[in-house]
Amino acid sequence: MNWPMYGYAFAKYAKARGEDKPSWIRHLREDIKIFTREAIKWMKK
Amino acid sequence: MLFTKARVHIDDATREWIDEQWPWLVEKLNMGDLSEHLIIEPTDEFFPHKWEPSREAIENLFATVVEYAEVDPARVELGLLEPQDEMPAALIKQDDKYLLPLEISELGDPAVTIAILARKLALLRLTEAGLDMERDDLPLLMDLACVVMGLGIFNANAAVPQVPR
Repeated sequence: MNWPMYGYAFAKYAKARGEDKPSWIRHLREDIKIFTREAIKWMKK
Repeated sequence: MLFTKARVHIDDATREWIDEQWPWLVEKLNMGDLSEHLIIEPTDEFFPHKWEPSREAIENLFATVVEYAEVDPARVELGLLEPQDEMPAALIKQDDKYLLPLEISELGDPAVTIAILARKLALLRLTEAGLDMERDDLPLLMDLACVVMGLGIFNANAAVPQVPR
């Protein structure tokens, strides 16, 4: 998968775990971290 | 981040593919409630063994990743290979066990080695779950399975920017 796909997949993962601000995001490379945060916000809309 | 926007950077077809495969993977991999599983982080807490390019170190790393992938260690064996002209199979079934071939050239960066092993173990679990190995989306499914299994951080950090594998 590419970085944006991982961002969306991690957002689904966080949602499934009931995490709004998952601490593990800090281990992702910066680009994927941004894609993930944006996708988490998008899912909450 | 203060100004994170609410958007996704994938097209609708890709998003729908992930949305469709997600519950299927959770069920097939028997994951249940994902909050009850660990997400594996690249820290000493999760990987306490010292890393070095030695057989002992790679065997320790392999055993650790097998445990995190929730695979029975009695059913898997690591096969270290000299670099091959052709890419070896991701895994080889031998009776009721699986051999996971790994070229020694893939041992330079432990995080990348973990990503490679995680992907092989995801394939093993998908194989055991009866996945059709002829599926066109198998490579993508292996990556998504790593996320579902809590090992996705390593694969994501080793992934290419835009072009899906």
